Amino acid sequence: MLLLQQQGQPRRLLEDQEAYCARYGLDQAQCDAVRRRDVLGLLEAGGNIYYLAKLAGIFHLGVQDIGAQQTGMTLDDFKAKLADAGK
Amino acid sequence: MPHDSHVPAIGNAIARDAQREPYWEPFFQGFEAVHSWLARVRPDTVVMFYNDHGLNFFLDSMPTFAIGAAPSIATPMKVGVCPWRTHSRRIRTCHGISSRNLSVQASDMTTCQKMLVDHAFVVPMELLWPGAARRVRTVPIAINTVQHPLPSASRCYARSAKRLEGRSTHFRATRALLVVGTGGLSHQLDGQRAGFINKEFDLMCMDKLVDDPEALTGYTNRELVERAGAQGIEILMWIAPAVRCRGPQAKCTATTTFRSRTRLRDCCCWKVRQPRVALRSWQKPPSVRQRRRARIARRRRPMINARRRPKQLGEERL
Repeated sequence: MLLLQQQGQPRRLLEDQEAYCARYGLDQAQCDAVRRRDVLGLLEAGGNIYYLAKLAGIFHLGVQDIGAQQTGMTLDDFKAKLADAGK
Repeated sequence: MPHDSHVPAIGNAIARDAQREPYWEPFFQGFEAVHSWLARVRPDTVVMFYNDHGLNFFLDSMPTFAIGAAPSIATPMKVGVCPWRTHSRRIRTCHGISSRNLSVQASDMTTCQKMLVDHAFVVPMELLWPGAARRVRTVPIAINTVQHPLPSASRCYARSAKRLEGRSTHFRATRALLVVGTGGLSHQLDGQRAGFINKEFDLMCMDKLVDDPEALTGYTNRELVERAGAQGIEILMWIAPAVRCRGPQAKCTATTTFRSRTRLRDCCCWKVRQPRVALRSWQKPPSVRQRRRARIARRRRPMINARRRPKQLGEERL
């Protein structure tokens, strides 16, 4: 089971991100990307989106939020894009 | 158990009884035909091909195919409060003992004696049997669509669908066996191409799944990612159970699901495998004569066994 989903872990991450990242041996690029909530940066640093989505969830970012962020769109534009593609 | 912060919207809608809201109504209405179909065929065991989204498996050890082999499996999801009944006791007793049985070894499966299932498993169950999903026994089979290298479409098809075909007699206790594949068609969550949807490809897949599933096994994973998006590779779970998904019923089901999926991509493709032995006994109860014969056969069995029993050490001397 993913460590982040275990009880108390999200709270620990939110309380002190730097210490949390250091504790699990994240390198500088990864820590920076976490700090900046930069999903593309996290992917670049070796992240897997299925797990990053859970990390984003802890920061109260939904899948559509991170989709909008990665494509450089506003959330509403991104939603409209999804709706249009399904029409 | 902590609550997963990423419960997909369907699960959320079910959890807060939003099925009649204008946004959700067309989606849930699509399942009414499926419910009446299920009421007719009455499957009591479901084999579910799904992918784990980082709940049970972590990247450090990712099985290509994994089967839930515990008496029950749990879920931290809001919908479908745990535990779920599994068909696992049967699997556990069968596997490794007889090649006749659902051959876990032949399918290169990882057996999980402890397993958590996420929305990929729970949401389709709740959609198929709203509020009553736990009455059904399940055989959860997780396919890796998360961490490369992934199994190819042809391997999923060959390993799963064909293995299941003709093995339905292993589920003698079942009235009918339902095989469900769940996952999204074209979609992508990561990278600059996030939000990618290829409707033409999806429609083509829906047709092929019904008429000619083997045509889909010709795609490499790279081609599937290109056409359906990085997470569109979840189509592997649709291909796995697609055995001769033919006939008007299958077609009707497929189109229903697609219509539903215009709002949200979380779909099922199903096919009832009807075990010949079990179905016969379900449709037509055994006659008095058949029952008497069965009773006699049962009485005789210990005698046969006694005769074939290997001689004990002391008996040889006698």
